[in-house]
Amino acid sequence: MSSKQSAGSTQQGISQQPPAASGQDKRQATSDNLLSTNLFGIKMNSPLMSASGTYGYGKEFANFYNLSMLGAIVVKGITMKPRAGNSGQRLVETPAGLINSIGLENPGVEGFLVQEMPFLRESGVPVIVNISGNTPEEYAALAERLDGEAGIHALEVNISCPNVKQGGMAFGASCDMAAAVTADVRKRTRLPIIVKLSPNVTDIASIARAVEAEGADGISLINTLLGMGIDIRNKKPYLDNTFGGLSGPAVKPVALRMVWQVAGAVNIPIVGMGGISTWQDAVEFYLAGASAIAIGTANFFNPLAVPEIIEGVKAYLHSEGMQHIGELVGAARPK
Amino acid sequence: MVTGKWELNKANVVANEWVSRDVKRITLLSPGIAATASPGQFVNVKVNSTYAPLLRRPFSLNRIDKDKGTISLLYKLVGEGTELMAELETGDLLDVLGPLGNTFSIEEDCGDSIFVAGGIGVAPFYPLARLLLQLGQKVTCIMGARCREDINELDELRALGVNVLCATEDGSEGMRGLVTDVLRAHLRSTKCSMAYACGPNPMLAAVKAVCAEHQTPLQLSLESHMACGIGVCLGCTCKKGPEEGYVHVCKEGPIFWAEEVAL
Repeated sequence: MSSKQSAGSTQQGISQQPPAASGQDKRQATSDNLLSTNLFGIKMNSPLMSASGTYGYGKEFANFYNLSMLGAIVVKGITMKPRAGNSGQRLVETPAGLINSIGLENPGVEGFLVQEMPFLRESGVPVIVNISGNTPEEYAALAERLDGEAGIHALEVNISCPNVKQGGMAFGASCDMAAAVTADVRKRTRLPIIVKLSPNVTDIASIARAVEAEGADGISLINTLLGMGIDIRNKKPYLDNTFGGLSGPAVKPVALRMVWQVAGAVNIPIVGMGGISTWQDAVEFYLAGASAIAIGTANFFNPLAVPEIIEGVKAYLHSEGMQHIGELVGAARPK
Repeated sequence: MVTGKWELNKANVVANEWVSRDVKRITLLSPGIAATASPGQFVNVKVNSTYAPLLRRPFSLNRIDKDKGTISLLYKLVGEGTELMAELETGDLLDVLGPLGNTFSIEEDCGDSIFVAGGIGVAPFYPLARLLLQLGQKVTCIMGARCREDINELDELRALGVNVLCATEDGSEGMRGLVTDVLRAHLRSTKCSMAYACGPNPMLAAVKAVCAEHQTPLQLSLESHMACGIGVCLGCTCKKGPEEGYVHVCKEGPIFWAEEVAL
């Protein structure tokens, strides 16, 4: 269990949930509280979030469903200065997957606060801001800038973007760098910090332990897997940057394995993601030890992925006779 | 951006017919999309419910029938997605999201209009032609293809009252040559107050140059690799015109003024 003030571990969060009122119909009694969770000190309607970069800043999906069913909206990655993103073709479809090379296109932190935060505040859904920098100092400065901004509940520290030349994934590739960024960010914000790890490493558990030791409140994983595609007609890589980040159902087994490994290595909550497209996928991640999950690429091909997964998870919990989703977290792990 | 108007339907397939040797037109019952759609907009289609293929496929609206509540898509069989779509039969369901993107700009008291369509790029022009003809404008459409067999919608556009000129690489229909040859000759003889083009990017770049020579305003309907179609994935970019940065085909487009983009 975490020693950090701001980090309510799942177990803590669950114990805070009132038990279902006895004597009532169980389905009825549990439906309100079945998914509500307290995580990172944030009261969430469900332990289910949007994955950064697949959800914009939320407003497009308000066209399809009530956003309040989400535990948090994790917004598209923000940098200090606006970024135009990468040149050339940015997407390559692969079997059950998608390689992207967006390159952190975003309006910069000031643009984000002015253009996007009013809608997000209005929505009432907790906001987690994904931040990226070229240097540890830039991450820390961003964290400081966002500290105290109304409506922002936590930061996701992106040390795993494969699509930028400086920083990005490099910070997530070594324990020392990951620890340094986490420590610098920790000093400059009171917001809970969730460090987003790269799967493109040999020992993810050691990196998870390194960021936990520097005061991370949680860990999210996985970011995309480094991949590439070659156009066989013009005999060149599709992407100007040659490599991009692979996501989608194809990466799910890898993501699940890494969530499992990290869950066995740290005591802070884990936000699991990577190819989750159905409620069955979601259940697997909870069982592996994720306190919350995030939906990413599925939002692109199924705009209703979030409500469908939430409904499916609820039905599963009912069918298993469970009172709260917390009972699921880590339930597949050896006792 | 305006939201709150997209429909996500499992639409009934009304018809799915061959138009030419590798092009079909699928008609879908989707009253919600038909009611609000305008020429130039597109839909993003999930051709099946599996992960093969994973992503939706964007298609221009080729017919918008508000009375019948149907929309049609004209598509060339080019890969996995379109080949699966070609197998759909009347009564099957197709997952369709739309209407997406912006529309062609129409000037009501405009003079003559000219369309330039490269291959399957003719798709968005039928509903635009109907609209302009209803406004009393004269419409000429220059269609380019490799050969006669690859020309689509020739009779349909003529039946509407469009003056159709063809350019084929082998001369089997219309003039032997490129659409830009026909366009240049047409603009020399006829004053056009608006041009619209859709087709491969190299063709669009050439059309842009010809229209610039004749000071004819030009709107382009762009294509791009696309995942979401609603402005969140940021994958469907095209370079901006003179300035730095990118436009997003699904969100700011798919229709752009020629000056807005660098092809």
